[in-house]
Amino acid sequence: MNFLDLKAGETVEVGTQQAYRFWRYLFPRHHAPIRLVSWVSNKRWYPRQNVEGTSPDLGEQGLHGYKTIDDMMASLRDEPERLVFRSQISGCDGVVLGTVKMWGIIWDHALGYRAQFARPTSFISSYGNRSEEALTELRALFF
Amino acid sequence: MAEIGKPERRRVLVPTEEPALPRVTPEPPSQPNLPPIRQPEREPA
Repeated sequence: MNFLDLKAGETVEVGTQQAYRFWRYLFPRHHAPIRLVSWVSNKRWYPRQNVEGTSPDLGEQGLHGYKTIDDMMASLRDEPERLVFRSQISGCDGVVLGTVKMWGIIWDHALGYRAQFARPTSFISSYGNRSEEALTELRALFF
Repeated sequence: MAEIGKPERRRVLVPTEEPALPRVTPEPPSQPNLPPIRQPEREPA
């Protein structure tokens, strides 16, 4: 991270923040590995790599996550299957729910966080085309 | 991502996997152009 982002007198914590989020997944043609894509943008998340988002100090930018799985499920009205149609009209195959660790600049919100950096730490469940296969493949690729 | 509510506070987290401080390579101290130091001549034994 860039230590010039620190503000005078600001406390620096050591560690990462766990959060819950969901992504779109896509099975490319020609048997290429499954792809993980952000929900609101076409930002791709690559296996075993950290992701840097846009600066959380700007508006609503940064990598988003919920504080708890209950916060995430409540925002989905406890029906994550509802996301499948929206993922498919964007050309993806479905949606996957999971956890990330976040660090760098983090803005705490009432129900979640916006962070500068993140990396997936688990995939919990998936919904859509070949969802079980997607979950297995994502876990094998990313961890 | 859906709504996460109002912003409350800003924090900075540094993961333990990363160096806690930026790696800075110190520059060598600047030295004036001094003439080479002459070794004192040895007195004959």
